[in-house]
Amino acid sequence: MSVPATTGPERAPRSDAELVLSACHGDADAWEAIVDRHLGMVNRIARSYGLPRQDHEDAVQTVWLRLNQNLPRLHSPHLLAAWLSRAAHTACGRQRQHRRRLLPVDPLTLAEHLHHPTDPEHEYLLKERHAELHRAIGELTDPVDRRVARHYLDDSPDARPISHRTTPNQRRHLLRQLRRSLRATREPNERRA
Amino acid sequence: MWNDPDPTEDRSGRAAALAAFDRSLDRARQARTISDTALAPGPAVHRDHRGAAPTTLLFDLGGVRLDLQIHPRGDHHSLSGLVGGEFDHVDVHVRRSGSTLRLFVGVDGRFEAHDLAPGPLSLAVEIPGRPLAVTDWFTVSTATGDR
Repeated sequence: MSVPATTGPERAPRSDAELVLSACHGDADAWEAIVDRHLGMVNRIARSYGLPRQDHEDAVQTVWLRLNQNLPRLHSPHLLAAWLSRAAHTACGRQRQHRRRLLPVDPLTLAEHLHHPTDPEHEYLLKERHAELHRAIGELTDPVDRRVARHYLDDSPDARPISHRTTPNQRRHLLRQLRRSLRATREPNERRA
Repeated sequence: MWNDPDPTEDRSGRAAALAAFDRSLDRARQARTISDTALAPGPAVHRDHRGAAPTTLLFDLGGVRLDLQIHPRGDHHSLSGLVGGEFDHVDVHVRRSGSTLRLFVGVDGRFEAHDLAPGPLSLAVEIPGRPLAVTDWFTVSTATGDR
């Protein structure tokens, strides 16, 4: 006599609250069921933020790490979908805000920084040279020369172009005087060293 | 009633989601996030020469404060922080998915970590005589766009 094949009563899928409870007790299968049930929703939310691929993956992973950490503290495990939705929006929003904080920079400016690293020694030497030049200008005997030299070296943003500030003769005269003054300062220092 | 997952759904990130399962720190105390400039950006305190401002986070670990600054350094990040409060000794660990890195904490409570790859991270703070405290997970993201 043949016996018809029977299957036992089909087990009803476990609710979110039951899965959370089991996962809290270390049941990895319950965690897998949670992931499989809600992964699509979390991915959909993350996609809606249009994040770059790496940021998208990091945000999604952060959501699951947060859920794992907060699993024993969930007040309403039956509202897991709502919790995950909020966590996904928070993680993706954070990524988006972070990206907005990065200012776009002209690559030419970047190249300039690479060629002129602002290390303290470089800054110090620049300041020292500047101070020495201004001291040499201060030693010019003719007040008109002093004024012209400062005018010539004016590097403020609204200053006129150098070629419009002085005549070629004035510039030659000034540079001769300044070189002489700087040499006079350096030579005794070098002799002392 | 729940059905099986839709086979056409985006299943990317499943392996990472499954790997997140870990019950070893269930007894740890969860630190409260007081501020996170990535979520509520204000005027940056300072920016580096490329115009990037550090992300600053502040956590309350129950009488102990944890200040963090995350600086983008090309494709990687560096992290500097300060643990403030009454204690004789403190240990700080950087938690990444699947690994933990113990940091050296100076006598003034300062610590640093360099060459951090983009991705989620969390910190665990251990003070003798107190329960272990962990911060929420947050993401340090790549500073150079899509990869």
